[in-house]
Amino acid sequence: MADLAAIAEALIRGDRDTVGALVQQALDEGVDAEALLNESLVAGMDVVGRKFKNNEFYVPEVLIAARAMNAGMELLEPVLAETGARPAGTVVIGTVKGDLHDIGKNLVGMMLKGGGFKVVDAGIDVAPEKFVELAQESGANLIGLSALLTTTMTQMGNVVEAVKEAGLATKIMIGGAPITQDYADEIGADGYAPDAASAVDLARRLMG
Amino acid sequence: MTALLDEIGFEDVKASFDAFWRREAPDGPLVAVLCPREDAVPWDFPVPDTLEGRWTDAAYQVNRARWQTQNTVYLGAALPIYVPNIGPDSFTAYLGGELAFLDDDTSWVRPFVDDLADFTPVFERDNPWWRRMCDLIEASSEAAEGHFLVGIPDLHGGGDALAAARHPDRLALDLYDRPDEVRRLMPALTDIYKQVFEEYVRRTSRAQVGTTTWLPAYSRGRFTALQNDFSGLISPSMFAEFFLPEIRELAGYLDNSLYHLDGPSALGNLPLLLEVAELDGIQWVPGAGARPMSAWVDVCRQVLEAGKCLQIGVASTEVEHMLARLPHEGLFITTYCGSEAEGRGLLRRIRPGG
Repeated sequence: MADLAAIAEALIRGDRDTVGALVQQALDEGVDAEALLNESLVAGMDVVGRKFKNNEFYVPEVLIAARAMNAGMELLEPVLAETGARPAGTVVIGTVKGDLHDIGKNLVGMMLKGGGFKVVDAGIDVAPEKFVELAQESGANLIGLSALLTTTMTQMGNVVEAVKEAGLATKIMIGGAPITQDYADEIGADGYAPDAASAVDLARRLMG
Repeated sequence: MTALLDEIGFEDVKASFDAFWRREAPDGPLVAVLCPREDAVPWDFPVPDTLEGRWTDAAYQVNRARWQTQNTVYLGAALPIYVPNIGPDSFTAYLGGELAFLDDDTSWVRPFVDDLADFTPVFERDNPWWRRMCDLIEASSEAAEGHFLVGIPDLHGGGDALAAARHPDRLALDLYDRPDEVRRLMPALTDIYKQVFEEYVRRTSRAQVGTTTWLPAYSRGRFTALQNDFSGLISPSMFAEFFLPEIRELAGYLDNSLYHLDGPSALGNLPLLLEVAELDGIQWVPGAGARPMSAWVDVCRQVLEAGKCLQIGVASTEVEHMLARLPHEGLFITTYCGSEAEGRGLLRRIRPGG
C-alpha cells in the first residue's frame, strides 16, 4: 500500500533512491498522480522550506531534498502529462543584468518546482528584454528576479518597465539580500519574498 | 615633499594598532576616517581600452593608486593603502581557473572541476594570473615610496576556492556525497594558501615593514583577513567539520588575523569562531542592504566580550552611538566623512585629547 507520508519523509532527508522507489510503487498501485504529487513531493518540499526558513536546514539539505524530489518528478511528469494535469503556474526566474550570483535564484527555482510550478531558468546576468522574451515564449504567469548587490538591484526596475512596455500581464516578484518590500513597492513589483520558501508562498498568492 | 605616511603620523598609527591587537585602547577608541580632499586633483592618465586591461595594466593601476591617495584625507587610524586586485577568485585562478571580467568591479572564475576526485590543487608560479598579480604588486611596491602601503591581495582560499572551482551548489552537494574528497582537499588548499601568502609578503615587504590588506588594519607582523563566504550557506556543524580547521590553522600561522564574517546567514558560525583561540578577532559586515551597524550592537558586544578584536565599518552618523555602547579595547571602527572638516570634527568629539 502506497505510503505518501513515507515519500515526503524520504524527500525531507534527501533520500532520492527511496523517493524514486516509493513513487514508482505508488504509481504501480494506481495512486492518482496529482494526489501523489501534492501529498508527497509538494508536501515534503513545504516542510523543507519551513525548516530552511527556521535555520534548521541550510543550502546542502535543501539541495539534496530537491534532488530527491526530482527523482520522484522524473517518474511522475510523464503520467501527469498524460492526465492533462497543469502546473501551479509558470515562472521565469533569473538574476538581473550585471549580477552573477545564482545561489539564491537556484534555491528559489528548486522550491518553486517543489511547490508544483513550472520553472524557466533564464540564468544570470539577464537583460530585461530576455526576461520579456522568455515570459512571452513560455506564457509565464510570473517573473522572479534575483539580485545580491545594491549596484545591480536597480536593474529590477528596468525589468518592470520592460514588461509593462511589452504589454504583458505577467506579475513580477523580487528577492535578494538588499531587497525590501519598500523597494518592491518603489519599483512597482507585485511582490517581495525574503527567502526561497517565502517565494513559493508569494507565488501562490500572486497566482490568486 | 614629505612622504604621505610620515605626514599622517604612521609611527603613531602603528603604535595604536599594536595596542589594538593587545585589546587595549590607551589613547581612546581606534577610529579610521577617510574624507575626500577639497582640492582634488583631476584624473589625467590614460585609461586602457579593454576591461581586462583596466584590471591588470600595472601602470594604470599604479596611477589609480597615486590618484586615490592624493585625493583622500586620512584621519585618525586611517592609512593610505593600495591593494592589488584581480578579484576574489584570484586564488582559484592560480590553481588553474580562468578569470572572467564582467565589469570594472566584478570578476569571477568559471567552475572548472567536474569531479573532486580528479582535482589535485597545484600552485604553479608560471600561472598567467599569478604572473599578472605579481606584476601589479611589483609595480605598486616600487611606486609606494612611503606614500602608501601595499596590501595583501584578497585571499579566498579553502572553502571559497573549492566553491569557485566547483560552483557553490555542487560543493554543497559534495559535502553530502563526497565528504572524504572535501576532507582530502582542504589541507592541500591550506598549504597553498600559505605559499601564496608567503609570496605576497615577500613581494610587498619591498615597500614596507609589516602587513595590511583590504581590511585596513595594520600589523608589524604577518596579518591578513581570513574568510569563508561559502560557510554562510551551510550549517554550523558542517562549518566546524570541514572548514573551521583551516581557519584555526591559518590563524595560528599568522601573527594577526581577523575573520571576515559576511552577512546574517554567517552569524550561526560566530560562536565557533569565537572559540578559536588563535584568531585575534572578527570583522562583522551585515551585508548588502542590511540594517545599519547600530542594529547589531548585540553581535558587536558578543565579539568583544569574548575577548576578541572587532572591526566594523560604520556610517559617520553612527560612530558616536556605537562608541557609547561598546568597550573600546580591541575595537577598530572605519568610517567615511563627506569633508575634512566633518572628519576632524568627529575625531575631536570622540578623542578630545587626541
